[in-house]
Amino acid sequence: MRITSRLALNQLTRNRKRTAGTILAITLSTALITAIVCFASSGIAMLKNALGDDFGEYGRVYSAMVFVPAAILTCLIGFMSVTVISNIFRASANDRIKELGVLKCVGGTSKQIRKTVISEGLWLSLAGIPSGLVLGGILGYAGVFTAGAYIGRIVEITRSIVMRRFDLKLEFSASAAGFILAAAVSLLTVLISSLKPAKQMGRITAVECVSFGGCKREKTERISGSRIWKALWGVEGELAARNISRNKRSFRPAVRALSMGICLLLSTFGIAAQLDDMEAFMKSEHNRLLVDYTSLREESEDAVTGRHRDTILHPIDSVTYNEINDKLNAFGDFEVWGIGSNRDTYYAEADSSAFTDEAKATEGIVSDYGDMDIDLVSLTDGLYRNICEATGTEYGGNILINTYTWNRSGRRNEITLFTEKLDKLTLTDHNGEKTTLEINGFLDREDIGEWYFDYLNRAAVMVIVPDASARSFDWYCEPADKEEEYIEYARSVMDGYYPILSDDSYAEQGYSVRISREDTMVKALNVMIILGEVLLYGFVILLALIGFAGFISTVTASIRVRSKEFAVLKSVGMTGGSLKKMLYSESMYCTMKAAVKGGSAGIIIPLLINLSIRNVLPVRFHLPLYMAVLSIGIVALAVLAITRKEIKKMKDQSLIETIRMDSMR
Amino acid sequence: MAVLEVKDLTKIYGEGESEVVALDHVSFSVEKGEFVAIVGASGSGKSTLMNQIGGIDIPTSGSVRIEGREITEMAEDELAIFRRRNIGMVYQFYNLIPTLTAEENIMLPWLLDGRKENRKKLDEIVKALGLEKRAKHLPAEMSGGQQQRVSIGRALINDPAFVLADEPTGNLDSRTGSEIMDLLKYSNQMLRQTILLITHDEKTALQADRIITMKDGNIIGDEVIKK
Repeated sequence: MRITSRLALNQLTRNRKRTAGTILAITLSTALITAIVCFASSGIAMLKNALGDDFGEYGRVYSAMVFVPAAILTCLIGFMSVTVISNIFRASANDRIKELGVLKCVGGTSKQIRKTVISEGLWLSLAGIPSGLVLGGILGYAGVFTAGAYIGRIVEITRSIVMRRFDLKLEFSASAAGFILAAAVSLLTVLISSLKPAKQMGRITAVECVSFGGCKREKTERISGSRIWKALWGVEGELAARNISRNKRSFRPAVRALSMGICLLLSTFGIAAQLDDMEAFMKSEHNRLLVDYTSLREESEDAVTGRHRDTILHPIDSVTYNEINDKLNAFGDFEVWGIGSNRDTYYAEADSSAFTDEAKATEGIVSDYGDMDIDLVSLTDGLYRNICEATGTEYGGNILINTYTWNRSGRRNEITLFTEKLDKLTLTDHNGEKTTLEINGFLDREDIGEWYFDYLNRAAVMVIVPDASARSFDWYCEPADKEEEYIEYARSVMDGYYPILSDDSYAEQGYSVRISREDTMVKALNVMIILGEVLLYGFVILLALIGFAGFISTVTASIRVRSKEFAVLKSVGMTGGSLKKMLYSESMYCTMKAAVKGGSAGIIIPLLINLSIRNVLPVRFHLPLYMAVLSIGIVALAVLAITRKEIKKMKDQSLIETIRMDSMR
Repeated sequence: MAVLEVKDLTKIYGEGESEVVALDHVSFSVEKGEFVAIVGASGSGKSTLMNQIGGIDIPTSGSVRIEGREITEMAEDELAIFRRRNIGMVYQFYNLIPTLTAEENIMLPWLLDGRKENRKKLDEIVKALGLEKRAKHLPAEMSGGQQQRVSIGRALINDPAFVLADEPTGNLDSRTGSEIMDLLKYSNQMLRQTILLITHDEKTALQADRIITMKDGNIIGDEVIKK
């Protein structure tokens, strides 16, 4: 064995605790990378099973969905690991500075010095990477197994609401190539981590390493303390602040590791809070079941007008939906009513003279063509009659739903669109042909007890048109404990009109019929949120553990390097209590610094994520104060516990022995 | 032939007002087989001189030639290799690698050179140093005197141009110190090993053949001791 490797190995056996900590960090880092590789390969296998070998039409998108998060997570783990492991190597190299100096004096080249530091990394990798691969395989299996169960549940729940049948089954899939890739990434992480300290040590001169006579050359520049810290912790705090200032380079990785811990915890809490808000928004206060019919539409562009053209292949007419409604009502115990929609045939010309002031002030209602989206709403007869009565409209008249609800930057907005001066609307189809639609009544939220039209961003103009055909129609009811019987009954009724003859009736027959609960989507979302949170928290906890391993190594190295300084302080009368206070205040100083950095990043990340969510849903980011306190608190407690443990170790050291040994080292 | 030639060697630390001239145009030479003591009070520049001669520090100006080769012009790694093959260093605080045994510490220059172990030579040195029973021990398991003997062994293993010993007895009691001096004298007399001894102790210096006295970075005396 080469002398460089042997010296590295000796160093590792000499500092068993630090070696164990580094192996733990490498093992965790490798395990996380391996678990992610297992997840990615299992995800790819799942998509191949569901969509075919090339993932179908949107292959690239699906590949990106798997590889981009995997790459981001791997980079995150890599960054965290490099921060932590390089700090451990630096501490170890500093510990060996005299030894490296001796090597230089007796003729060791810079290359050999670099080699011995890098060899440490290679030895540690030899232990850490295989155990990380095993742990990662177990973690990956457990994670994929758990996620698979959740995905199975989501598929089961959503089966009643998806138009095109699909089967997703996440099963553990790992290949030798995946493990080799994970091992290579981990080895690269370790090598990068050891490279910087190795270079630093290679550059250091023999004179700097070997302190003739046992005295080290200290920095000569003036170091400022911290007034705040002095006020908070007294003279011990001042000493702590000065020490951190003097050893900025040693403390920087520890602060970075803690910052990342706080940032990850806070981001996770912030994202989880937004998911909860999304779930709350989607939650219905009713316990409704709906039978849904949707026709396939053909999308094209009109060659003459250049407008988008939707052709509804199998529209449902008023006779059919009323007949179906009657039959569904015949089940008995509860009322069934239905609402249909056609947003595909016309545009409404914008008559701004009839706009209310708030509509005039609202952007996005009128398109670039000078018209507005219109939804021709169809209702089952009974419901239509009730609304006519509530609005004082003559039966057979068209009723404008004069409430427009939309999402603006995560806030739900609602305005009255037209004044009651509006008596007709001019509709244009894709050919440019115009039709006049009379408005005979106005429906506002306060006109009826139950508001059936709580759609966000559905169409600017919604008009109830009796006997209108629809592209999609939903029949609602609350069957309570007769749900299963009713589903069977409703299926038989729908089969009489729209039988389902294939697995993908929407594509093959031109329509779909789904029977589901109104809150199915919320349930599926809930399962997704739980799955996301389980994986996210697991990931963050393991990543935070790597960070804490880094902090432990920094504190241990700092205390060891400064043992003489502590002994001198004690010899001039510093009590054990004061020394403790100084060390605790150092730890708190690091935590506070990390809280500022990590806290800012932990707030900015969910805020940036919210910027895309708020475009779709009325979910806003709110400053997670209690989460911030919780995240910082968790990290501060861990830091205090680590410091306490290190202080305890110091207790038994003899004062004179420490001073003597430091001179001898 | 001179194994060491030092010409106009100058070392200045700091700049401007804080400038300190540690060595001021120092010149001397050492012949093969000489035992030279460099003496001077603390701050006289003797340790700085040793660092320059040993090639572990770069002078501000001047020349250091060892066996005809100019070391101040060598690249860092070239100098490191030259050092392990041509200069033996002995320090006051021994500077042994704590994780290597006595035997391994002695062999360190060979190991760094990637050379095969010469068991016969190693055994000779270990025997000459009286370390047979301690050869497999770690430095922490040895006394100060034993550690210093290991350090001397490491300096001698490559038959260097000269051995540079910086206060080799400074950390030892007088009996152990005189044992170490005997070893240095033995290597000088029996093996014709050139020795440069740096010390502040005149009694120790008197055991050399020649004494160079330093003060404020200058050589103020260079005399041969008649025995």
